[in-house]
Amino acid sequence: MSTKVITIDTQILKKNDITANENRELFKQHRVLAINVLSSPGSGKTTLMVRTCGTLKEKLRVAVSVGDLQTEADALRIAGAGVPVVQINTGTACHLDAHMVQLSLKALPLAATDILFIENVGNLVCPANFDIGEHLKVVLLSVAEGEEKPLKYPPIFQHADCVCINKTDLLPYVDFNVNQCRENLKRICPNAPVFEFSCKNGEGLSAWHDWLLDKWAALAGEAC
Amino acid sequence: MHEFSIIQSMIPQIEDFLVQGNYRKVNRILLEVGVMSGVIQDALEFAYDICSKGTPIEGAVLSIRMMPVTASCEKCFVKFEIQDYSYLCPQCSGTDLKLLSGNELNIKEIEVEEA
Repeated sequence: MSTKVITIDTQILKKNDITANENRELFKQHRVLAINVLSSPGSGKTTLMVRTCGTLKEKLRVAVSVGDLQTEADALRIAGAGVPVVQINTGTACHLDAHMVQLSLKALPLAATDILFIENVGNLVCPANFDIGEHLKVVLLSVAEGEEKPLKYPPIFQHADCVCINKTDLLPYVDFNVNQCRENLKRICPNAPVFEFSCKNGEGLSAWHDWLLDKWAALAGEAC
Repeated sequence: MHEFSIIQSMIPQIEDFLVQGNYRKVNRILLEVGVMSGVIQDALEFAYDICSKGTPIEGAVLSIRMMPVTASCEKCFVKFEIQDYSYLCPQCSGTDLKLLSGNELNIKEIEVEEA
């Protein structure tokens, strides 16, 4: 009986990546800017969605697909902002994959959407591996979490197109060193812009909204 | 725990190779896993032991080759290994880098027994 070695050189997540490419094609077809929003649980992703959608809907058509293991709680909160939203329940899975996102897209009016936010499951590890077809990855952390977080979870921050530091209203009460956090981010993702804001009182959010509008304008410009 | 999802994506691909090539069994599977892929070697091995049971690949040895993070600078074109998560060119301090390795999550090769 003979044995032989076969070189395969294929991605383990090939199936996911094929579906992610289908999602990308769908976004392109409908001229939708898709943004994957990532953070640990409790950093304020959903509050950011409510705030951001509430503001951007005056200028653009915004929709949200939100992932959690269980409950419709986040979708209900975001629906309060008056934008189309769909909840993905992953069961026990710790991340969204391209297939879950693809299913959720069927429930959204993509043809009438300019920016789609995909709020991932709260987790700074696993979602880093799964391409869902997004244009941009936004990583959020809150000042209650510690300035060393980018160094503790390097893969997800390394892939960030922008980093948001939330809950700045808590700065007087916690030992978070903003400058040190910015230094840490400069090492791991030197080209990603960093925004500081409070979703509670709204301070600092306008720079983040402007960045989103710029990204949308760039995509719309490319499509013309 | 996403290592389970990763192994569950790998197994059917190897089964397909066995069927397509009409091979009797697979003895060894070599994966290339980047240091920055966010995947833990131990967790991958643990998931493999559990998920491969009862499948045609049960008993095959899983080998994992960890790949370092390497990059080339788009400004001065030096190639280097990224140390200590510092994504800066060691020669010109440029930040416009092209990543060459470190994010892999690949099935590199398999050793099979012919029928």
